[in-house]
Amino acid sequence: MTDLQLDADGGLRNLLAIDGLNRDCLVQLLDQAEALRAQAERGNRKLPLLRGKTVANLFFEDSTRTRVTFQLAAERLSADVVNLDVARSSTNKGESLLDTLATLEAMHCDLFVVRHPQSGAAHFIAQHAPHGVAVLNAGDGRNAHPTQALLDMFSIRQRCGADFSRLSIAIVGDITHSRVARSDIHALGLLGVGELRAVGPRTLVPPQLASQGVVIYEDMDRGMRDVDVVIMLRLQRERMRGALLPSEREYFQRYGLTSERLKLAKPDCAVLHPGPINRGVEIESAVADGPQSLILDQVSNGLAVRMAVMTQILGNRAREQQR
Amino acid sequence: MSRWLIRGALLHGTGDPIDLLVDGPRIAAIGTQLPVDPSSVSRTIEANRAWLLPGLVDPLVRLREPGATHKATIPSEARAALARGSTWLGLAADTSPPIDSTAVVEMIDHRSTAAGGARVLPYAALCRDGGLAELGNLNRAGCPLASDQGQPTADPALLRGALQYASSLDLPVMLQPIDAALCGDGVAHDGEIAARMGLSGIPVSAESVALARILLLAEEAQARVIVGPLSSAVAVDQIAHAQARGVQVTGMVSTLQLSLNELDTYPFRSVLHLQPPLRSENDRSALRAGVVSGVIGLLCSDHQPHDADAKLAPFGESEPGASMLDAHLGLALRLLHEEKLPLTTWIDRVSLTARRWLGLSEPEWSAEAAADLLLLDPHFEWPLRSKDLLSAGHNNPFIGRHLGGRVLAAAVGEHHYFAE
Repeated sequence: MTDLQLDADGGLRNLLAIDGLNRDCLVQLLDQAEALRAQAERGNRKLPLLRGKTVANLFFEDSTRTRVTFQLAAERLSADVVNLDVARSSTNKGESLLDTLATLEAMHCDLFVVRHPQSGAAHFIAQHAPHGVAVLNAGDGRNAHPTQALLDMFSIRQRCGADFSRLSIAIVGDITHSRVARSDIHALGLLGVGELRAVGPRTLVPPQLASQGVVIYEDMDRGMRDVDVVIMLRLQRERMRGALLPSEREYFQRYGLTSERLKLAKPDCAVLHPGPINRGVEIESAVADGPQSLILDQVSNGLAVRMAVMTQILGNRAREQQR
Repeated sequence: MSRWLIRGALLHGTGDPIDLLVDGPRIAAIGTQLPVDPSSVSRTIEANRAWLLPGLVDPLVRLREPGATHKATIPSEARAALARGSTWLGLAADTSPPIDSTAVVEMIDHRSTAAGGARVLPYAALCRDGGLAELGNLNRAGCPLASDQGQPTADPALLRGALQYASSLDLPVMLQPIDAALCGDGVAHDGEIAARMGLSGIPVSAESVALARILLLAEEAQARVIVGPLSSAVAVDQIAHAQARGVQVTGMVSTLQLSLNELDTYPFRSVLHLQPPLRSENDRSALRAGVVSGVIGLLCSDHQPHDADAKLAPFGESEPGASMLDAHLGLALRLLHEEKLPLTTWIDRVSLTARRWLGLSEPEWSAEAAADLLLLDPHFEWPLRSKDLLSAGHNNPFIGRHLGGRVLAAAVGEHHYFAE
């Protein structure tokens, strides 16, 4: 995957997944996001970095929230934005996905921000994108959600400092179906996290994580003990049907993050959640809105991180073209 | 009528070089330094100690005709198969329409005869409209076995009846051990790589649960069954146990499955989106051991040619299957060398065992016997490039890799292929 994501100088040319990036690249993105956030706090809310560029949001899966943050990020960088909510029904086949790309080629876009329900879709689109068009993965199936991982890392770094080796972090919930978890695990691995735990029922945690150095806990109370950060995952309602979980009530009882459970962690343990949260299913309101929650910081950090990624990708592309 | 001569071949790869004279569909003479007037033959092939073997029998292919001729046709694939060493192909019944009527059998037979390539043996669909297909009529029309490839029988009562009925006809049955419910929406082996890529997994139990049911029902019905294509180490154990109990069963595995594992699918190589999926290295080595020990008696190509669009999609949305006719022999030869198989064992796995199951006679090496042969230079190495593909399906995962073995000549009856 390396060659699709990085150019000859190690610069980012597409962002498809954290898997395949290196530590330097990741830290560089976080540093740039920090600089952009500082600029915004000084009142420079609109920057001219992408003036004349066109960013197309290609959403094959509904997500107004995510799309809006990408749109805002592009607009803050002075890019023109095209939003395409591509109905799933018209793209059940790969050929029409390619047809969609061909249509967009005629609009002279510079960057595709892609969300798609199939794992590997961003990778596929990057392979077949018109020459010169960059791809930024905004979530593909269960595979990856790299900007979410970057904003999680940014938020943790902001709260706990840059030395991840001192940290013990737990990811809790439906890891099997979570692109956020996959990207977080890769990012935390690159940043050298001290200890990484996956907490959830056996039906929702792939045992193969152990080979990536993740310690699996089926008991949440044990999994929470003395962690510095807990990343809660959203539980999709459809998981309640079928053979994975009996009910929301039982799930909350076993894996819901309550104030009581949070006391098992380090006293200043930070709480993250990619949103939107299901109150009373994976997290108690008192925790979500409490002082240890970083959930709203995550949202505002997401803007800075997405601006950083767009700036780097399109900057590297421009340098590539000048040669 | 064509007369042609092979000089200096090693029969079954051993002994002193011999000559073989073919006249039309039959062997005219065989011996050392046959006195043949060069002007009486249309072609003389200097074998230089190449191997003279029974034609390979590939017991599981899709040719896409009838029903999907934009992917491939009987002529395109039958000719490709003969040029790659196979003289007989077993055609899965999941064509469109399926092979559940004698009209379809006749049509396939007619197309195969006209194609001039490998001979095609249509398999009878085991079931039709939720009940049994006319297995007796289909058998009489030329189907050597019944099969549920592509549509694994989900209903155990139906499977039990089908096995009993086939057994009463002494008709072998080829079954695909896949439990659709356990497969769910899976597209890759439920292992390391699927977990990493976020692809929904197909557990090993999707194979072993279906296989356990098949083996128990076959034992009860005293049916003769081929199970495969297989993908897991567990399956090899299950079949070995059944064989020890006296169940008339053999395993079948694709040469692709013996050559690659789940790691090769990374990242999102849709050309390797397969059903059953490529599993772990442990599974691959157990399958190889199964071939060596004989628990698995049959090697197939599991050839599934596709048009380009079928694979131009994200991994899970691409159509499963690989085009394997062009690489099957090369991969089988790699197995011969890497596992240091006795050549006689190898010939069993790629030709003779399948012949016994399909009711084909073992080729005889004597005057008047029907020509059914492969002349193979086993030491030749070549890179497989897109332009070398003979199959209409270009979804071959081995493009760019080196393969061993060159077919100098292949013949079945009056159909023959000569390397230029």
